[in-house]
Amino acid sequence: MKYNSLIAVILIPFAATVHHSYASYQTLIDSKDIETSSSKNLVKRFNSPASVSVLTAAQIKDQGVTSIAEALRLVPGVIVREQVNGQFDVSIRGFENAPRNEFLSENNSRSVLLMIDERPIFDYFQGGVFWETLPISIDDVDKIEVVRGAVSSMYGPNAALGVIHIKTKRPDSDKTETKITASLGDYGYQKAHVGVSGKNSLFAWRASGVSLTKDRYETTYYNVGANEYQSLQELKPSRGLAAYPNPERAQSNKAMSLSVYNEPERLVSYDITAYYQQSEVQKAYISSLSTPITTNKASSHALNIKLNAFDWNVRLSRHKGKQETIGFDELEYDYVTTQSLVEHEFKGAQWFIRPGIRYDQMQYDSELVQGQRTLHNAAFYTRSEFNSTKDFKLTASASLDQYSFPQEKYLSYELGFAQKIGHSSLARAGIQRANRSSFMYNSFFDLDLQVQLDPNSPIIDRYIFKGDKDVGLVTFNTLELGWREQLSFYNTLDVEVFFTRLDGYSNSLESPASNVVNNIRTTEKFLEKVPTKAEQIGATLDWHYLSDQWDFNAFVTFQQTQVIDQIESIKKPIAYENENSKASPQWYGGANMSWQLGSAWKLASNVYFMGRNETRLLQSQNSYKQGFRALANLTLLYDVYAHTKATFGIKNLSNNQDSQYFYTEKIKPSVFMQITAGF
Amino acid sequence: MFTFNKIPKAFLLFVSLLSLNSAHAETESCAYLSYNGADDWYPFFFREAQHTKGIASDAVNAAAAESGLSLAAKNSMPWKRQLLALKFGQLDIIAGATKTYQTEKHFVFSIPVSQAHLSVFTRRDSQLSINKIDDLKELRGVKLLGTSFTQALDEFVLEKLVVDEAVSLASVFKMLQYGRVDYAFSYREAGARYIQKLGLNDQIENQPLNLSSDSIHVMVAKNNHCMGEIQQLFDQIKHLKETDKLDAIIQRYSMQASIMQDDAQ
Repeated sequence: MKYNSLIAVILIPFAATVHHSYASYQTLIDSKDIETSSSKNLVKRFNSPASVSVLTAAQIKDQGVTSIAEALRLVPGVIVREQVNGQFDVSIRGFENAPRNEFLSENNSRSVLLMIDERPIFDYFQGGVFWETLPISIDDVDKIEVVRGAVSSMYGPNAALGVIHIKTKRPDSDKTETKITASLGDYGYQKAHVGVSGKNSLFAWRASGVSLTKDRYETTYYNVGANEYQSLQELKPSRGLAAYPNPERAQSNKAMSLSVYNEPERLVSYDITAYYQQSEVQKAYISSLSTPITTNKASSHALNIKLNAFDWNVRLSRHKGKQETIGFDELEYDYVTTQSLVEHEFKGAQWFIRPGIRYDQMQYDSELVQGQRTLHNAAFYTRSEFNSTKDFKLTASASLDQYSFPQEKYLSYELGFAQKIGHSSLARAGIQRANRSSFMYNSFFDLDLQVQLDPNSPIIDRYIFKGDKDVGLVTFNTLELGWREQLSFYNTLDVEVFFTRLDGYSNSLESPASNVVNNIRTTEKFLEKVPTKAEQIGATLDWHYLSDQWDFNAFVTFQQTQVIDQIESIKKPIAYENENSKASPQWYGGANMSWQLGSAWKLASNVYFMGRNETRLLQSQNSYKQGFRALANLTLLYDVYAHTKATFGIKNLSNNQDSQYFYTEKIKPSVFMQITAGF
Repeated sequence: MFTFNKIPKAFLLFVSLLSLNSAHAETESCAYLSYNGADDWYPFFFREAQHTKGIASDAVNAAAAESGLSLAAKNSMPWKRQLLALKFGQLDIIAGATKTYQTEKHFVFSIPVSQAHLSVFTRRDSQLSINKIDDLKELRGVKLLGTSFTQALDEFVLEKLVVDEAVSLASVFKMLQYGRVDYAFSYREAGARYIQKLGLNDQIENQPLNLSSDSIHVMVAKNNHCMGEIQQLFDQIKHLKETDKLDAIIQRYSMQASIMQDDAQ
């Protein structure tokens, strides 16, 4: 795809010569001031009892963001660490590697639910989000709404620390519109994106496709044993990277989608989207090897059907795909997830209640879980709101989930209130409970292997690894207090204080090797419930200041996480001790500014910073410490024509170029330019 | 030799030069006053063929002409951005605004140049007859998100009516058109114009019930550096009212509006 960008650039002069007006209707409310994710209902963000932030396509474009995960650096309360060029680790408020895990693959946005147009995107093998496998590009995003706090009661398990809801573009123009974006940058950055939309008398439609490649910032890999970065030749990996044909390529993604929809205001409205994606990335995945980076390949297709009629809301989605970790056949798996819900809204003068049922089925086929395995859960849930006065809102959600494994019912809930005080203040509070779902690896991991470690010894080591499908689920309880202050119509402060407690934790524990019987020495490692708990207390401050020519937004989160009864080693007998977790930075945040320079130019910059943090894995000798880091991105935008924009950006200017994530790679400054043309 | 390290410095220098060139394009003198208004708020402020029109726009232009003041219309921009431009001196006048708690803190207002009448729209095929607000009970309505009425009406709507909210006026009228709701709240003239624009005259009608009236003003920043000229303009608007010239402007748009109303009925 070397010539993707070139082709798009050639097309742009033709595109730029055609201008026409777009239908627009004046609204007094900015898109960034409204959201639906905190309540499944259209609300002004200021009035929401939840901790919610909104990022619009315009803000994303202004800040020169090149990927969805990177865009989350513009949102308060989100920790975003780049592993390899374009590949990120994302968490909300923290809690990754707290309590400490054994493998990096367990630190993978496990307690955050990502949704695209209400469809959960989650990997149920080990739990988590594979950001490289999203079937859309940043250019398809209309809005990203981030709710911090437990919202499983509305969206299902795994929305335990928050939900990231991506809404894609749904144009409603009678004319066929095409938008082409071409980007070029150093470190092999090339992207071509095309979005075409139209409308006929029956339906509107939008098709989009993207091809993106990025190279690594460096070609060396960290050798954990030697404690230094080495070339692949020096590293001599026995597996994984040894089989990878292109160690310089950081990622290669292709995705396309087609949406068919009608106007959402209709009595019967629908929105049907088909997706396809394939990706190949290098990222931090397996930590027990000579280097934490592996190469992961994925391909998948999905269908999402949404139907709204007479206050009924129905959604059905199916996602089928394959995940591979190159060089590790046992980590290859095929999956099919089917998710469905039906809900109905009853509405009165001061209230609404929206009960629903949800059924999810996750089917995975992998050597590690002994073939094809299925998890499913069914839930009854409801969401309701009550406005006793214009200034007071009470919200309540509850979801009773029956899981197939463990065969237990779990209740998640949210209770919140918001009280407007005077014309410009809002006090809010919420209490929430949520849980993770069970995962394939936890439930069905079953491996029995024999290894002769010493060729000169007759003794064979037999290892028996087992998950436990009946082990309980990790549960989060959160208490939030918040205050919003409209200091003036151009000056807003949002403060939230949160306390979260994690319990119901389990871990694989290793029994001492048995006595040798028939020349076989057996070691067992079983998943077991442990008394480990974690508590986090923190606060986020978010300040917006708007001027006539520039916007400014600064935010910071402070958090402290204490792990109670942290396992020191997985080898029995188990020793526990309390520790202050440093896995997430104790303070992190950012500042975003955009500045209109005359009618055609705009300058934008954003700074993202985080304090010291340290990732320590169980069973690993190496911990990874990183010091204070601030990184800045600068973007200059120029309106070439009415619908043709040029962007020039500098990224990753930083005081600290060390790896941001567990011995991955050094993150280096880079430049890019981009042209977007619409016609 | 050019090195990568020089890029950020060169970039900042380039931006600095740009900002010098573009910053404060607005003149500090009061040779002319700039004005703007909501993009599509018939009959108070709207644009046709690149020209500003409407009662508030015409009133400001007539008052300026009588006072010998020069005006310059600014390009269309989002409402919030206009408020900021007004606050920070990049815009002198917003022609057509209602008083709210926030705007009264930062801006001063002329005498009312007109009234906006909150009204109810229904589908013709529903054959509803709304003569009093109690007639809306048992029905489902829609209003623009965040719209606030008088305190008494707000309380009635909250306690007695089932009202959805939509993010734009287009959505409000589409929900009504497609039968999602039985009625829509909108300013009468803006609604009439809107349904005419959407070609819904034969489907949607305006009910005679007038729920409330809001005064429409000309609005300027309290700290505007041309307050002398602004005061002249405000005085002249008052004079236009006293000499019935303002009524003539209102009458002109009322006639257009009544044609639309007739179409709508």
